[in-house]
Amino acid sequence: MIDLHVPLFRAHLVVRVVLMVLAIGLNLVRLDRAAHPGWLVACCAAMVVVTAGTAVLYIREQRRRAWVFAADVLITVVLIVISPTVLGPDLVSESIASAIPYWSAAAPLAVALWRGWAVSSLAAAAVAIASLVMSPTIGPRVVADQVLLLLLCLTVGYFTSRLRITTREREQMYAVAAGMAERQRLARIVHDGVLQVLAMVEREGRALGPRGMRLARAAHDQEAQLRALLQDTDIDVAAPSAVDVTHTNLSAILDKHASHSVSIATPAGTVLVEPQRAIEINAAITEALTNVSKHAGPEAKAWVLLEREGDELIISIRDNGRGGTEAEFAAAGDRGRMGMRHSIHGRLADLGGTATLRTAPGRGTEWEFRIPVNA
Amino acid sequence: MNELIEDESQIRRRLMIVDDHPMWIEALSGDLEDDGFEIVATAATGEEALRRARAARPEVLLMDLQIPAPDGATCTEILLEEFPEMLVLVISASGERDDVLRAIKAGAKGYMVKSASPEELLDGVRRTATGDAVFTPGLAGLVLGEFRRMVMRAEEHNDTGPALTNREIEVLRLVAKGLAYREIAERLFVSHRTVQNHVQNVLRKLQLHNRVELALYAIEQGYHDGDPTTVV
Repeated sequence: MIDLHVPLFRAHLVVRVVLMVLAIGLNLVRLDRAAHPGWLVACCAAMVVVTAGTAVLYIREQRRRAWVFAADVLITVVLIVISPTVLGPDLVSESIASAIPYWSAAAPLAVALWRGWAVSSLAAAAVAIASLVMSPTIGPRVVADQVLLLLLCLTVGYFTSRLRITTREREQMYAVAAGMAERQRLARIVHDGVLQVLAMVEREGRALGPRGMRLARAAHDQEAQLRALLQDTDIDVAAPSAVDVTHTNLSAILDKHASHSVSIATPAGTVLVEPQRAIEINAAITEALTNVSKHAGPEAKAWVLLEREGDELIISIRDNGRGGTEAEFAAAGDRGRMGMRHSIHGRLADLGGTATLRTAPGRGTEWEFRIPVNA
Repeated sequence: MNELIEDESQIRRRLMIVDDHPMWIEALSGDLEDDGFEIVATAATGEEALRRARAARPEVLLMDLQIPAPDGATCTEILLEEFPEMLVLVISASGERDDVLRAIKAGAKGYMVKSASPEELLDGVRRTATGDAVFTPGLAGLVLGEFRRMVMRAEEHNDTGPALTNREIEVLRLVAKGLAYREIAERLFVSHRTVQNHVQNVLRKLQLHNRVELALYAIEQGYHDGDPTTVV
C-alpha cells in the first residue's frame, strides 16, 4: 500500500516553515519591546528545533508515533502558556499576544493529517484553551481565532479521513481488477482447451456415422456459442473507463447467431449502435434466420454479412435454401405469417431503414437491410 | 470451398504446423501426410515456432493464433518479414478478428476456423500450398471492413487511400455471403480464374498498403528521434 501520508506531511512541513518564518519575523520586529528578549529568542529557537524535528519524524511512517504528536502539541501549549511572561504586559495588550503566533496551528494540523478530525479536534482544543486562558482579555477577536483553528483542524482532519478511505477503496478495486484479469487469463486457457476439444469432436465425429454426425453438430454449435461468449467478456477489466456502456457492439450480438449452419462476417474492431437499436436490428435478423430454418430446407446454410458504408449499416442475410417467388413471400405475409411483414419490414421502418428481399425458386433468399447510423 | 486446383506441379509440400494442442497437431498431420505433405516441423509456442521455422524452412506454415507468447499473429509478422515467400495459412479455434486481420495484413494467405471439416481444411491447405488465397466468408467480411475503414480514414485526412474497384467489392461481398467462386463466376459472367484473381488482388493490395503504412510509421518515428537517416 502506498503511504498516502508522505505527500500530506511534506505539504504540512511547507506550511509549518512558512508559519515559522512569519512568527520569527514578527518576534524580531518587537524583540526590543519584549519583557525578556532572550527568552523570546529562545522561543524562536524552540520553533526552529520543533519544525526541524517534525520534518525528520513525520516523513517516515514508523517514526510517526503517538508520543511525537503529543510532544508537538505539548511544546506548543507550553510556549503559549509562557508567552505572557516572555512578552510582558506591554506586548500582551496588543492584538498578537503569543510568542508563537500562527505557528501554534501547525501541531493540531499535523494531528489532523495523522488521525483525522476527532483526535485533531482534541489537539486544537488544547491549543485553543491555552490561548484563551493566557489571553489577558477574552474578546470576540481572540475567540474567533480559536474557533477558526478548531474548524480548520476539523475540516482538514475530515478530508484526510475521506481521502484515506477513498485510497483504500481504490486499492481494493485495483486488487479485484487484477484478480479478475488473472481469472480471465486462466479462463481463457481453459476455454481455449475446451474449444480445441470441441473442434476435435466435431472433426472426428463426422467419420463415426449418423450418431457421430449428431455429436459433431452439437460440438460445432457449442463451440460457436463459447467463442461468442468469450468475445463478449473479452473486455479489459483493468481499464473500466474504456468500456462503453452507452453503445452495444453489433458484431458481438451477431456472433451469437453463429452455428453449424450460420456463418457470420463482420469488420474487425467494433460496430457500435445504441442498445435499443441493437435489440431491434437483432430481432429483425433473428426473424430472417428463423425463416431460413423453418422454410429453406434442412440442409440450407445461411450467411450474415455486416458492413458499414459511410453513415449506413448494411446487413445481408443470404441462404442457399429452396427460395421461392417474391409473390409467395408477400402472400405469406398476408396469410398471417406476421414474421416477415411485421418483424422485418416494420422494424426496419422504425429504424429509419429499408429491407429488401430477393428470391427465386431454388436459388435461396437474400435479405438486405440498410440502416442509417449517426456518423 | 472445394475449388479445383489447376496446377498440381505448383504445390509446395514441405509443411510446418504451429499449435499448442498436440492432439490437434496429431490429427491434422495424419490427414496431411496421407495427402502427400511432408511435416518438417511442429511447434507449440511462439518461441518454438520462430526457432524451428528458421531451422526447418518450411514452404507452408499452418499457424494457430492463440499460442504461448509471442502470439500467432506476431509470429506470422516476424516470419514473413524474414521469409516473404513462406505460405502461411491461419487456422485458429478462436475467431479473434483483430489478430486474424493482423496476420493477414502481414501476408498470411488465408484464414480458416478449426471447426471446418477435415475436407475443407485439407482443401484450404492444398490451396495455400499452391499460393492461392483462402478466403472464407468471415475473412472476406474482415477485409471489406478494413478497406472501408482505410478509405474513411484517408477521406478524413483529405488523402487518397487504397481503394478497391467496384468489381473487387462486388466479389468480396459475394464471398462474404457464402457464394463459392464457381457461383460468383456464374453470377458475374466471368471465369472462375478471374474471380480468383480478384481475390488475390484484394489481398495483395491490403498487404502492400500495410507495408507502406509500416514504412511511413518507421519514418515518422525516425524523425521523432531526430535522426531520419536511420530508417531509409
